[in-house]
Amino acid sequence: MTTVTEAPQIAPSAPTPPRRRYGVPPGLIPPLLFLIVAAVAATAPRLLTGVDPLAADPLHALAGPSAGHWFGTDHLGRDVLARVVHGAGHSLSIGAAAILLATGIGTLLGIVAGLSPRYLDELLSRLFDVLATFPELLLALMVIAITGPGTGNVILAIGVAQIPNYARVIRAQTFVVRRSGYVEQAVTFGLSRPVLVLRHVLPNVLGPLPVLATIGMGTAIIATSGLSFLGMGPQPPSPEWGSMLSEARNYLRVAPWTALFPGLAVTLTVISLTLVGRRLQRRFEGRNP
Amino acid sequence: MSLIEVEDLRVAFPKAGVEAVRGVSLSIAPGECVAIVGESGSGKSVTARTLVGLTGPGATVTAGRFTVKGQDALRFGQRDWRRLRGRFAGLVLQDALLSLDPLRTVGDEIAEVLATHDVVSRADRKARVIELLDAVGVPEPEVRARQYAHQLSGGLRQRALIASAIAADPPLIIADEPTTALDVTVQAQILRLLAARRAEGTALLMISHDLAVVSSIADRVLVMKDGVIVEEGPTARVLSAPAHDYTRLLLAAVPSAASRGTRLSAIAGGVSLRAPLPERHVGHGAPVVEVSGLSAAYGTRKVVDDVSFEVYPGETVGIVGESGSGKTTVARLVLGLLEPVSGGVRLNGDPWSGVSERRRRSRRSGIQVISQNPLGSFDPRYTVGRLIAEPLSGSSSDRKARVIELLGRVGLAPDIAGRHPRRLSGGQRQRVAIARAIAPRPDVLVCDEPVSALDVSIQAQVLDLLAEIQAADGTALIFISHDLGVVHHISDRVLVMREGRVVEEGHVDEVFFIPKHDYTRELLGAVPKLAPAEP
Repeated sequence: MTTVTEAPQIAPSAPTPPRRRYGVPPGLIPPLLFLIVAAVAATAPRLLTGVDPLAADPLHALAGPSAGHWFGTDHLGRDVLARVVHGAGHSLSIGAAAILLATGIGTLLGIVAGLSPRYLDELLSRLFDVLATFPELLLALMVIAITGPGTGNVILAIGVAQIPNYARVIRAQTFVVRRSGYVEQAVTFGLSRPVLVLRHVLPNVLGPLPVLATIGMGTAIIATSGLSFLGMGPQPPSPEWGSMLSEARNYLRVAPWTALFPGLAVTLTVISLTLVGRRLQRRFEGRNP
Repeated sequence: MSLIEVEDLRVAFPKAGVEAVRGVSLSIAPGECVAIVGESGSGKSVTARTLVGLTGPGATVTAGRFTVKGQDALRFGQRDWRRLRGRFAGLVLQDALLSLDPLRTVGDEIAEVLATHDVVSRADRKARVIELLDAVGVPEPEVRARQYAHQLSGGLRQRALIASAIAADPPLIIADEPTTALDVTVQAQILRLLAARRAEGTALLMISHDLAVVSSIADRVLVMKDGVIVEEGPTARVLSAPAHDYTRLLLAAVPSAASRGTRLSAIAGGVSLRAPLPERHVGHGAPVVEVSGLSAAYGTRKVVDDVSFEVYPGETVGIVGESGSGKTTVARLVLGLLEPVSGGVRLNGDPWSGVSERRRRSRRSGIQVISQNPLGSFDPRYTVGRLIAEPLSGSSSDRKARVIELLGRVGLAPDIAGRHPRRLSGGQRQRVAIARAIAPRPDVLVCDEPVSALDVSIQAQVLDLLAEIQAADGTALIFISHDLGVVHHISDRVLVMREGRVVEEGHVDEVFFIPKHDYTRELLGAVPKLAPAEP
């Protein structure tokens, strides 16, 4: 159809967009720094603290923050700072693994749905819809109820619970790309269908995935902590932010620091991930004409 | 006393580092029609918006003198401007769908202007809205007033917008590209409507990229380029005896019956306009494309109905029609992107429609496409070089060499290959699309509105380029456009489509000079001619 309406947007002398400035906007520096520290804590906790997170010292139980124990100690006299630092490994790796699982399977299902004949797409889409109606945590608890608690099962539970999110977005994206001008153009070059999908559909569908995964990771970390809080995650005495919160529950009045610091760790991680993710998203959307 | 008088107007956007308007002087007398003509980026819209205080945030406006109704407009605040807009100057923009509130009915929209400026009493407002809609030629105004913008056709929307612009009976209407998004017959209606308002004494400031559109209505024309008015004068004088090179270039760039066989753009380095195009050879014998009894439907709605035509080697067949006439669907059918309900397409003598995609694949290089929006047809991740290389075969160094050669053929420098299309201008993008389309050496090129989104001077260059390629390679063209001038300029034969059917076809001169079908006559009659308005 004659769409002269589009003229102004693609008019030739439309000024070239201002050159993108590289470098980090100031607002993003604190969250990025925090994430770097969290990543160091997760991979090499010994760099940040020399204290053993499992070393109990009942004589100094529930001591407040001091020069010796910056974050204080818990009910068994374990150093809260060391536990928070060592806990990052559990919380972050469970979150990351769950997201990897969710994006992997979600993307695959989404693309299959987006490219399949109608009946298969309908079937898969209804499946995603049904799964998506359950709150994620509930779905994760259902999976745990079947598999039992433990680190691996928490990853599976959170991953499965997030699959529909990714599958739906990727399916919609596949539809857009599949009907785009450039895919149609590629048909006129005589490309075979597999080549077309691999060369033009897949890469353009996957574009938003890193962004979605970053934001999703925040959700996954909350879910991880939530499940651990309920005792479904890594079993004590392993430090994990959620299970630390759970243990601290009984001492909130006498030793609020035992809950404050793991709580802060979860909150700041999720906020940081979301801020960075949103920024990536804006950037990604700005990139696509 | 002039309605608006401005001297040495300058508008800059310091943040973006752009000075959009650089010293414009103009005045509009009561009842006068002034037109500002220019290409995109010339600053014409910014000028018009500044005149009603709508320059936008981040702009700095300076002027030697700027009076509105004799008052010093440089000292106006937002409140003063608000009082003027609607009451003193009604604004009509290009896209009525964007200008009208999607959540309110057309009637409410017009009533708001009446209420803001207290034109009529609350009780009479409703009746006045109906009157206004009736005055701008909206049929069934009572029904339309209760509808939303998206429920109206483009022409009706534009009329509704004009109704809201004239609701407070302002002495001036500012119309920024008021007909650009419309079909030619609807455009003619809107222009008649604006002319009628003028006849009643309303002054009109018209902004357009199209000289022909303003020539029928404007007393004076101001030609704008890069923020400066390069030429101004009475319409008749500017059109018949342009003084500035740029005006001459603009006028020469307009394709028409008279420009057939000649170049529309100046040859690089030279100023000689309308040089002859290279000789083109039209083959007889076997057609490249044969379309017979082609029909297509979306669901139960028939969009193409019994269309037949042939295209011979080296020939250009134009397809004209308004939006919704089925032109693009014909293109998709011919390209084998859509299967016909009945009838068929043959490419180089062999069946093309009705065969499996697998069997078509190897023959796809024989037919290529150039679309209106090249950016949409480029994989967003690809550089220019990769885009053009994609349909090519051979070793990577061969392909690289071919890409450079193709870029040269479309007049682009080799270093463009490493650039990203988003960083190119519209004209450059269309050249890249052409380079890619001719890369597999097709027998036929399907061009679907290839120049509709381009400025007239860029359009001229692209049309010249297509003609050169066609003459050199003997490629056949199927050229789809809503612009009758473009089609007349480039085509040998033409098909006029309406509601999916071909209503008339034949040699382009016969069809356009001696139209047989009423619809063709209506279309041709609606095309604004490059002729000064009667005094």
